[in-house]
Amino acid sequence: MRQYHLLLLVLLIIPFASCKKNNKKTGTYTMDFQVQTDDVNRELSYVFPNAANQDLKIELLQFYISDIILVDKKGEDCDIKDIELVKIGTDGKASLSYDIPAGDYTKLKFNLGVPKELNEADPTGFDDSDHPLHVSNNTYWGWATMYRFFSLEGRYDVEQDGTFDGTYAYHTGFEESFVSVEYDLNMSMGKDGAITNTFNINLASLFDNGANSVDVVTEPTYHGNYEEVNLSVRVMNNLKSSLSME
Amino acid sequence: MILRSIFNRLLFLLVFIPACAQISDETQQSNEVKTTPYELEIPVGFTEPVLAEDNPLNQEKIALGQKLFFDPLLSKDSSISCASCHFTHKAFSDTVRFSIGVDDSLGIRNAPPLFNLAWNEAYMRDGGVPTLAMQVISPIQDEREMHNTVMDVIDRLNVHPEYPQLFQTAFNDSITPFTLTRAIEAFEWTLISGNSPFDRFEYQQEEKALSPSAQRGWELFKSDRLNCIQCHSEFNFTNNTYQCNGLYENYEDVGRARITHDSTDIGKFKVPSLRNLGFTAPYFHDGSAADLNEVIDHYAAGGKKHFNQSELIGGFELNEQERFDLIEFLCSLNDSSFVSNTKKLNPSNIEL
Repeated sequence: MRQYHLLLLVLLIIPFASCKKNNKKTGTYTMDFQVQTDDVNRELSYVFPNAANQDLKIELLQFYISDIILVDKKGEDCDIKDIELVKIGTDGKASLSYDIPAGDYTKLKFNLGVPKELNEADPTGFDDSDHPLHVSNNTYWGWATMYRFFSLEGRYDVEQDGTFDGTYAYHTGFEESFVSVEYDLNMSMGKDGAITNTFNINLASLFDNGANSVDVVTEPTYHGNYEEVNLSVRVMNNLKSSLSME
Repeated sequence: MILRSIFNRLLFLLVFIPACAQISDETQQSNEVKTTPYELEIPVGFTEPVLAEDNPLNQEKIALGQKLFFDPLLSKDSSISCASCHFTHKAFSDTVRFSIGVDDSLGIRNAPPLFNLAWNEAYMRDGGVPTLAMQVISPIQDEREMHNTVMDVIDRLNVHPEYPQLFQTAFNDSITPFTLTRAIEAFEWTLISGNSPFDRFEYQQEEKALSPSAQRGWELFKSDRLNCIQCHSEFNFTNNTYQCNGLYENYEDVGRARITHDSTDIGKFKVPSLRNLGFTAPYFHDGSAADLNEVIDHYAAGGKKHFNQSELIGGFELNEQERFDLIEFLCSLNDSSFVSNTKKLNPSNIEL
């Protein structure tokens, strides 16, 4: 009889363990990303001016976010996903969805970039072609530089005459460029509920951001040269600053 | 009673499901293509290498890796293969200081020879790559080398008349980044060189395998005066550390510091094996020494006193006979059988 009780106890405990994915009481948590200028939603190719009155256009905007964690009202971390590649589509949007345990959450945390242990991992070991770190994403540089955390490419028009004069491409990386963000939440996820948080990406802030500002004409590229890692750090700080949660 | 019923059902599931899984596994195994196991032949005096557990060796995999190694399909414009910079007659090193990639791009370091890689603790001259499989990606994707992407290579292999079946046979799997890199890794593990005159003298008790001059050179090599053996130690003549040999006062290529970003690693490179030196000129990380006399001149002069220079490099004097003996010893590390055997691996059979 004691065996039956023990078995029942185990079966009862498993589903109610705190913040476990096997908790059957779950809802859908969605993180939407939307590019904007002047608080207006834009398509990715929208042309906008920077502080130096040059017109900029973005052709590629994708970045890794890692260690996505929701903090519940008890202060306990609920791990959502270890790594994601946010690829902004031509419509200026990207979306990630997760089943999360029902409950009350007070904080969302994630990092911008690839954590050291994943950055140093064998990229051919990610067998699933849907894995964010699979080599098909073309985000792996090589042995010295590893993964590109953030790829931002586009064109600039110095005279604002409709003719794009040059291109820029920033492919950031290295531990120094790894930054963390967190947002306060007041979120109650009910069973079978659905909650969406939208993260706006202010395009202008990717370039104009005080001391972190980037001049697309004089410093148009970053491709993993560690000697110039400061530029990579600035671009990542700009990405962080450009993100805001609605 | 109800509890007993639940328990019995659970018990049934616990027994039945694994049994089904076992049947499924057996069916799957019966569908697998049989491969031929392969064991590395370890030379006398060598330790057993610790190979990656995710890549068990078989002959089909090695043959596939060999085919890939010599196939220019890997490069962006199908102009160069691994063997274009790692020549079999040069113990898989290059003939020039810096290798030439697609579109005549020039490399930044001298292509290292390829042998006894199964004993390496890290790869590339700065040791930035922890496994041989991971190393395979670097030349494929480096814009100065093959300037391709792994996925493009896989797309090409998938439409090739032979490769899909060869991968299926070797791995019982399709062509993926994992299987691509493991095939080449498996082939490169088999490039073992341990039959030089020195090996026959030291490990195989052939007293006449080394000339008296080479034996005197061996004693010099070990002597406190030259102290070469401090770094070029063990059966592979490397202690697998990173050292600055004081080749320059200012290093254009920062070496190990490229990986660690630590200024105390500037100018440090992995201590290379001294085996097969007769085939692998030019020397040093940048191929700046054309012959062994230039290498000896550098160490005899005591280096350029870089702030990270190894304290072991303090200079020495050699008379003409001693220099001759030292070179005789270094040349006794040439494994001609390795070079003549591996030359046969080149499917194009080009005599270079």
